Amino acid sequence: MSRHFGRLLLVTLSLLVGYAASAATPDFSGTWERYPDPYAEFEKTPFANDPPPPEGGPKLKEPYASAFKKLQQRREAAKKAGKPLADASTRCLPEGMPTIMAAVYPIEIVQTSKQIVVLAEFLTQTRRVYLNEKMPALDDVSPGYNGYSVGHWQGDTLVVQTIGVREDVQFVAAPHSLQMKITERWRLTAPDRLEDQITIDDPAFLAKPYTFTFGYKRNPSYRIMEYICDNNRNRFDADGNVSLEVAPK
Amino acid sequence: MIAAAALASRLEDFQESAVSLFMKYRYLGLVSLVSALVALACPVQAHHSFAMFDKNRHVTVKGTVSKVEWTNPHVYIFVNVPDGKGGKTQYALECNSPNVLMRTGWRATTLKAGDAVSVALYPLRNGQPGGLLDTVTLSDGRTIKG
Repeated sequence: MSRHFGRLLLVTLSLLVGYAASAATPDFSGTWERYPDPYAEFEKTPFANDPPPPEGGPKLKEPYASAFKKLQQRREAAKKAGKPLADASTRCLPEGMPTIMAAVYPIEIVQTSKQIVVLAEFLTQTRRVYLNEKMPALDDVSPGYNGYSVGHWQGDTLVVQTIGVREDVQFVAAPHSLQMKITERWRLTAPDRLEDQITIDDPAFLAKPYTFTFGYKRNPSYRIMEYICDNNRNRFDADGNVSLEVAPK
Repeated sequence: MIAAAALASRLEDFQESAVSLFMKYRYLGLVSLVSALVALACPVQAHHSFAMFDKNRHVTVKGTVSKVEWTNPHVYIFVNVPDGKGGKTQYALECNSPNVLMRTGWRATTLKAGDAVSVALYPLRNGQPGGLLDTVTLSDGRTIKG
């Protein structure tokens, strides 16, 4: 009798523990749009200014800080002259990390116990975060747009680390080294609100780590559509200035 | 010099047609018929800066659709516009991306070659025949946002 009771207690306890564990894992699944919306001005006019870099931009070391400032001035002057400078997305190249998380078009998160997949509508980009795996050595990672990401749960927060982002894949047009590390802390701040606190560490280029937060709102009615950038009519001159090809295909 | 004169004359045509379109609309009481299409979640056109286009000039041209390219990163509508000398100029008009247009009510079949249209646009600053499409008015009076 008591042995039977003991077994029942054990089963009940393990069920309770199992329930507590699953309840403790937040569900990030769904399609998310930025909230508050930093791109709201563009709904009024396509000529709105891009939102400024979060937290005033990265604090770069010299000589990178001066070069970055000079590039921003060149960019502004080119815009004024009607010949904007090309950036990666003007060339239909993926945004990469961490720009993909800026969700200029909404992003969809697919969550399993082994990985989290971010599907961005813009340019049909895919980013994978492997859960509870050891980070490989930098040398074993093929440098890419999104790099290589591993994540683990710390209570209600998913801590994600990323390495191996190619040097020519730039956030807010700022330079970085291949040794750059990105740490993200994802958590639900309300049932349909997500935040991603992002810290970029790169001692070779940054005077101090660059930390900022992107907020998102879940949008259950939004269906991500295909976005294959196969008709780029932007043409680039030797200085990287953009013009439009007006002849039909 | 000749090119400058041609451009000036084209500009006058633009302004003239913009005014005449407005007058016609006011006369017909159609101004209120401006699109009832609603943007649900309308993402920014992330693809490039719009500095190629002249935000200070909003002009209207009338012509016939010659081609529709329903593609990313943008949909392009090509419109043949009579040049007033018996010929025509083909304008390349940049619209939003297909996913944004679909969500605001456009369909790939909304415009097709041969359709008579009146197009409000922000012209290219380099003088090439093209621009950023603002609205297009179809022959049935519907006006849709680009």
